Amino acid sequence: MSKAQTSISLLSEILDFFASVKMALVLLITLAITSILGTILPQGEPLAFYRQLYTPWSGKLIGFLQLYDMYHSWWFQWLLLLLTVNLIVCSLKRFSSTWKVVTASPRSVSEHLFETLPFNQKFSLKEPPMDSRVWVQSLLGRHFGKLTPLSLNQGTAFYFEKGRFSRFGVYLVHSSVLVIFMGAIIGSLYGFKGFLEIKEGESRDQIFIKGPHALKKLGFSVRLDRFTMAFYPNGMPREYRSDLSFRENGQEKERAHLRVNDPFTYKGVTFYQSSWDQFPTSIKLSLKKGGQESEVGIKMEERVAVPGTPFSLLAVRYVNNMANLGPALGMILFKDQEEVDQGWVLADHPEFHGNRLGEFQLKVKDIKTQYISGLQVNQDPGVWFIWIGSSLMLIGFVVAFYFSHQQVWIWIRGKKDSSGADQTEILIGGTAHKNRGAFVRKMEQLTKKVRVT
Amino acid sequence: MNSSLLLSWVTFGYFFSALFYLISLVLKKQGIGQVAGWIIRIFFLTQTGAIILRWVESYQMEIGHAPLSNLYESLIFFSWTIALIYIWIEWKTKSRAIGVFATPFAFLAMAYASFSPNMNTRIQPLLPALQSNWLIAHVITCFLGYAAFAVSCSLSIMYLIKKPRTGKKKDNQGLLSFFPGIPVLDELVYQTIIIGFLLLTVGIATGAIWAHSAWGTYWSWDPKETWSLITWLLYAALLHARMVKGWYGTRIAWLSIIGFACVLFTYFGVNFLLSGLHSYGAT
Ligand code: HEM
Repeated sequence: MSKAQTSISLLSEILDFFASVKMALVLLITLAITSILGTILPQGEPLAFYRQLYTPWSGKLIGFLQLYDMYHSWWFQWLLLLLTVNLIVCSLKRFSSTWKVVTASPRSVSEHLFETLPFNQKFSLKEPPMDSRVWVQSLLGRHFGKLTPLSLNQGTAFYFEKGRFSRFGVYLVHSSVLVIFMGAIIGSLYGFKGFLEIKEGESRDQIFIKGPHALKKLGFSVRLDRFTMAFYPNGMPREYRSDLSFRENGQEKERAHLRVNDPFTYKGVTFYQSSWDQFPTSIKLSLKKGGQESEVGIKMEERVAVPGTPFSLLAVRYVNNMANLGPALGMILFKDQEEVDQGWVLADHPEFHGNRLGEFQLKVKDIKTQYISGLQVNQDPGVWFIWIGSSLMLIGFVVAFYFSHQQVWIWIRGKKDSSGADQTEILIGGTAHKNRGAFVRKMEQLTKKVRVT
Repeated sequence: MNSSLLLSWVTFGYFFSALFYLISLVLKKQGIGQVAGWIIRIFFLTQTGAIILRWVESYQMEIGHAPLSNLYESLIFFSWTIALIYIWIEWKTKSRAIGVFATPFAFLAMAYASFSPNMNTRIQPLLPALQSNWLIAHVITCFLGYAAFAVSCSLSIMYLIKKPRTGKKKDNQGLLSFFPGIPVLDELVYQTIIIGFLLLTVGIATGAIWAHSAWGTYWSWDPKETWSLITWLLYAALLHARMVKGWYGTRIAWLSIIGFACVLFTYFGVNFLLSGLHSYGAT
């Protein structure tokens, strides 16, 4: 064997390996089984978490196999790549034979042909049908579409065919898998997932994107004009809504009402209502110390002196609903420059004994709040591939599962019976590339009529 | 008259239907099987009415939404779809023996919904994230798919019971003579899997559309999503094994049973054992 031949046979062996359905089965099952891991092991935690949770040794393994982000790990991606190669090679290899079948002209009848067909029967009639074409048409025409006469030396022959194109169904399914993969790759290469927290009345022109807290410029600015909430009679939330306006170069271009499940896309960037929060704009407090009461107005993160004392107050945090007790302020008390106390002040429970800082008893008289809307901000140019791929897959399934390429041959020829009298012999045979059982049963039913005549 | 009352009748109805199917098989009395068939049809209609009624009731409470929003409602719908697919198969095959294996699933789903102590049976408003027509399409197609897999699993069990005993002498007189023939069972297992696979695919796709409109990501490897993919991969492998490798009968029946175990885990196991976005089990 020459060198060239060896390398060709090696190549074809490699191709055969990648084209094998056995490999597809192994890959599908391996993907299924390994996917279980990521549903059991918490995903996306820092490595230290796993080291602490399990033994240091398994921590190392988790690190090496990237099990903390299993579905994006190198080996899982390799499995997906192998499946892709498997799918492409297998489909390409089979396509030429499918193409030959689809473009071939019908085979002519012969004894041998009928022997190879999964359905084949012979009937003898005393008299030949008056007009064989009309007879055949009335027997099978309703079920098998187009009738083609076959030219022949001996007798007459006809050919029925339907569903030839169903042979492409499987290719449609398989390419749809590739389209979906392509969409996922495009999305991860050219898309981004970001987040934006924006106060009522505020404008933003950049967002946080996932990863090492990078900021990304949008190229336009988005303003939260209003945030509203609606509730059901029982108090459960029914709707969160952000009214947004989009601006470029100081000019308003478009407005949108964003709701959960009802996103809005501006210049390819899609905004989703994701969360909300509240932020106090002004707070009125009353402070009591030894029977003496005074009132101060404060703002978040601005230190305010308590009149007539060396003390000052700073509100550092606001929580919407603390342990179901309503809004709470996280406050720090200073004496001169020294921190002397800190604690939570419950706004809706003025008599709560814990509303104390140092020797002051605090009461919240009034809080004016402002909403903050949390928006998911994404761009995914690959998502249309996903939708188109899924649609193609479904169409492909219907074609592959519920249509089949059916072929029927009928051969009508003269014959002498045992006594030497003239007779007509009719051979009917057919095949289907799918659901052969159902096809054969159908044919048996249809040809019952022949025996009766 | 309210939907809860109707649904409790349905639970008992399905129980008696399953019981009568069993008795008819054991006593080899076709008449009892006929009664079982009537019972399941009547209570299937009752259940249909109850589901519609529950829908109407939710509008009367001014929180109107399709009754597919929590574990309780999903179980009722699951049971309804099993009954639907079973009645269709009985009508197609004229065999009532399948009822012995399929109707208990319909009953068990109802019984779990009705008698489980932690089940929240109230009609509740929908949180904003759940207000989506895609979500309704998602739930309906997933459960129709699950039901097809449930019926396929029943057929597989029948196959595994009948297969080793065929060709033996007593075959023609025994209980098993009421089962459909081995090739018919094999074909039905395959057909129901195809239906389930198609619907599961639509279910996963509509779920992805919903997730994309709610959170901006069509796929986030949430445990429930992942388990539905695992189930899908398993059935895809089964189809290839049958189509290309020529696996029939016993092997396919076992794969179908494993597949349905995956379905059950996707449905229940994920809720109770793993955590994620799909919090049906939590309420
Ligand atoms: C997720 C990936 C895949 C999906 C969803 C898929 C889907 C399908 C479907 C629905 C069928 C028709 C089955 C039937 O009619 O019963 C089929 C057939 C087939 N698949 Fe796949 N498949 C996948 C991957 C693969 C891979 C990787 C291979 C590589 C060897 C492969 C090879 C085949 C072959 C050879 C057939 C039979 C084609 C015929 O002659 O009709 N499939 N596939």
